[in-house]
Amino acid sequence: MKKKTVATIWCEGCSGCHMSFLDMDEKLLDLIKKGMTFSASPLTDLKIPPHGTDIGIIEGSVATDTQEEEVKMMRERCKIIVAIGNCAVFGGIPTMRNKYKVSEILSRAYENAETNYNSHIPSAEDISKLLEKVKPVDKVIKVDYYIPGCPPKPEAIYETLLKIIEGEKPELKGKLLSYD
Amino acid sequence: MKVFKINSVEYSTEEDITILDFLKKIGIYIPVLCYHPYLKPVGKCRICVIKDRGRYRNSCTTKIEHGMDIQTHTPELIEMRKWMIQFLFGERNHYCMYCPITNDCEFQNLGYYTGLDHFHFSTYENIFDTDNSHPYILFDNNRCVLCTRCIRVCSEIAGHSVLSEKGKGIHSIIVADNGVPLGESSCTSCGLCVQVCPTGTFVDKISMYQGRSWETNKFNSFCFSCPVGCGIEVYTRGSNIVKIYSDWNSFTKGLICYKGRYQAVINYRKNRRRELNSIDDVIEKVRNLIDENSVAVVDGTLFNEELEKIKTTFPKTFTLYEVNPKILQNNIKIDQLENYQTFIISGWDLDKEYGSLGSIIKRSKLHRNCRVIHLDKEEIQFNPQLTGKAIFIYKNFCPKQNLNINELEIDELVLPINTNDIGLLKIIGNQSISSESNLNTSNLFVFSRDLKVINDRFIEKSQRKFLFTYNLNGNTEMFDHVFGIVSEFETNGSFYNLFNELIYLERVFEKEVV
Repeated sequence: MKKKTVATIWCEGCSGCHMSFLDMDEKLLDLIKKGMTFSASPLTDLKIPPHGTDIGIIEGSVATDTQEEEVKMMRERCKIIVAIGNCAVFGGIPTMRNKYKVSEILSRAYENAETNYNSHIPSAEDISKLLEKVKPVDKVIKVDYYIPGCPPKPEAIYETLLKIIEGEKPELKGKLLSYD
Repeated sequence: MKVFKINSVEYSTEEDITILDFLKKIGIYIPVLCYHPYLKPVGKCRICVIKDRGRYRNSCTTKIEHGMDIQTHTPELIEMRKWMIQFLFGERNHYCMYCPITNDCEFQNLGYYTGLDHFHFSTYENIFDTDNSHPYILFDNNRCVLCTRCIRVCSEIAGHSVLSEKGKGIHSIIVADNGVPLGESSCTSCGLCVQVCPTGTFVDKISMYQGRSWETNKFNSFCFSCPVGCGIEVYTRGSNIVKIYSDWNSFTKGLICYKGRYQAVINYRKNRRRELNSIDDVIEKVRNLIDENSVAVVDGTLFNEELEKIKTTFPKTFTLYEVNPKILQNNIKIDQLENYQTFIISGWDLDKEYGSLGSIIKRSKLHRNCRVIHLDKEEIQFNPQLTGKAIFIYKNFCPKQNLNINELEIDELVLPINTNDIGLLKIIGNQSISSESNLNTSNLFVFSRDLKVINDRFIEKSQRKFLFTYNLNGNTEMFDHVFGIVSEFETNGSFYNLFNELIYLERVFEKEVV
């Protein structure tokens, strides 16, 4: 049996989708029995998946230049990209900031917040820059499959991964398709 | 006889019926969004699209014709509907997770139905202000799909005609009174826009996050807040009333006003933690205090059964106020109001009291060009040459106006003050306590669900004063003892509405809530 490697990354999100991933519980073992292995993932604490990884799972929307590079790196190294969670699929909660300019947001958070005292906007080269607009993943790279939900149902993640591992085209139906 | 084909099966009908209604009849589901069964179809959203002999048509507005060959679910049509839903989702902020009606939303269900799992287009480009100025309704144009159900219900059913559409294309928004905040507009808070909205554009503030439709139990009942007695649907969850909607299938056909829809819920929630008893139980509690000089005073906020119980228990029973005995002669039914051409109004505000009656009059003026004469608002030299039938609807008619009602041949409808005033007259009679000048009482028992005004002249004359009420926020300080009695939702009972119809209310809650 050929192993299918899975890499996951976590962009502008809350990690709820990774929690939902772990909530597959004993079904995770089922997937591992069917040949799933992990490469880079917050679960293994490795950052960069090797080239030729079979399935890349992306949680969270793209809000900074670093995240933009990360998702592009995922596209290069993974054969199939699955966007999981409302943030990755639609943009989600982080898009709430799209109404305002980046300078306004930084100023509100670091300079004018009620609890701030003598503070300033942090500036250093290694801090990621906020993009003008928060984007869902498919506005940056091509995404093959989508699992919406906040968080997505563990069953939906299971069904999708199972279909991909078995070489079929996944499709969410009924209760597995959920926007909340 | 029209003969036509639906999905290659031959049907025939003689009815003048739309394609959508016919498909419903034979059990074929077509998704709809702007269509509402009780409103006139406008064919705005085009989600109900079907294919007839190579042409695409709205099934909600197209009538069945002879020789039609209708296709309803070809792969092409399914794909088309999915795209249309997607265009609507992409246009505004339809991010379900921060919407209060998620999981209870017609538009969201269409997304699930069409299997929409992502958007092809960028979203959230149009951002409108959220309107939080209204006391009961949260109004957010960012979630609007411009189906115009709210506009249609506001003019067609409620007759208020507050809402309208402003702007063009993607920039169109729903506005109240052509652009003022909803809270400052002429909105009467009937809440029908919330009831028909398929998205979260109009949301009840008092009902949000209290429970979704499918988590609640629905009871069909009648409103006890005013003498019209509209048909309502009460949605409960545990011991809480989540929301009250109007009942489209009742005799008022979906009419409701702010009293039944919001105030009844707020009142109930305010009092639901208190100890409340039925009238039978409270009478047992005070039975040993009832002697031959005891007097009971009742008003029209009680049910017939309760009035009868009080009448048989106490030696003397009076009414709290004088009731106009003419209300017993009300014999006009609600449907007959649509036949009148002139409405003469006195003593009440169309927007604030008897809301459904006001709606009927306002929509008659709007759609049938009826004449509405407010006797209180302006000194009208009354012109007796009326066209068509006229009706005089009044609460407290003051004869100083230049109108001799008896000379003109017009019908009358007298409005009771409290819900069950007709029952009060029928059971207790018209013996008002204020007309009894030399009344010496030992113990005075006042029964009223919502005591607003009380004459303290007879209060002073009695030795001990007991009040049996539901609304403790009313007039209670002058009483020695105050007992809580159950609300209309916690007891069975009957009452007469202003059309002299006997209405039975079944209890909504199984037990009294303590």
